[in-house]
Amino acid sequence: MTKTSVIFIKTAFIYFLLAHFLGAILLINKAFNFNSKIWFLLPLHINIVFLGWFIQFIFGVAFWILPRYPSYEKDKTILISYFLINFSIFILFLKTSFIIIEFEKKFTDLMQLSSLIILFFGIILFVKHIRKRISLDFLLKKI
Amino acid sequence: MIIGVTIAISDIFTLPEFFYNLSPVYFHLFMIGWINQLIFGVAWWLFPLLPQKNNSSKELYKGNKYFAWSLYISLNLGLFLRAISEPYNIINPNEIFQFLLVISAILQIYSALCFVFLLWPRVYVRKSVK
Repeated sequence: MTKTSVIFIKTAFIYFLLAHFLGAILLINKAFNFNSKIWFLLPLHINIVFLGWFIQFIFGVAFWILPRYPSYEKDKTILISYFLINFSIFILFLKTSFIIIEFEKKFTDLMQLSSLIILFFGIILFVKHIRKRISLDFLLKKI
Repeated sequence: MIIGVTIAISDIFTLPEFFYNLSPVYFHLFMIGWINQLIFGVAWWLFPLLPQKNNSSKELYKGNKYFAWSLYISLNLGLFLRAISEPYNIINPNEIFQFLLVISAILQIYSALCFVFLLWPRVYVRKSVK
């Protein structure tokens, strides 16, 4: 496995655990109805599952397993993609905490939007790298 | 899929109240019961193997099988308990269903910890890959 894949997959594992802890809190709150504010964690739980766990795990495995070209590991776009994806999740964390303390809604909506834009660029950079490795020209040269 | 179809049918025909509270169960059976379990299975098979702890042989191994089985059992038992207790707890909240929901949460947390505990050491940089 490559270093970049290890970074992606281990980060995904951390988000996987976090998503489960949040899910457990939500489930227990569903049983006992401790505090209605706990429901604000639901969008964060869903975002962590999809962005933190699924996307990063898939990216990590794809980077490791797809056909390789020499020096593919030196492509910095992947690490930039990693930072952008995780920064967008960090903004979602902040957004949730601002919602819990009942901050202005316009501001939290803006945070959601900026997080999605950053995530979009992160995914674009990953696709830009992976596209080279699954292009027909590259695959034919390999054969 | 069957639960998904049942939810769709419940929009057209009148069904017992239980079927109107199945959406979270459907979603979790799909995401954890299918997608996550598929990921677990493929990762367990595909990820690089570990060297034996005692270094007595050069054979590689996947990890502790008992933990892996306990992961499988806790994940599926946790999901099953959730599938039963979550809709009933909405219809008729009582201590039994609340207790089952807590047990389900604990079992799912345990399965997640097992998964990460088993696969974390298998995610490493192999020098031969260049």
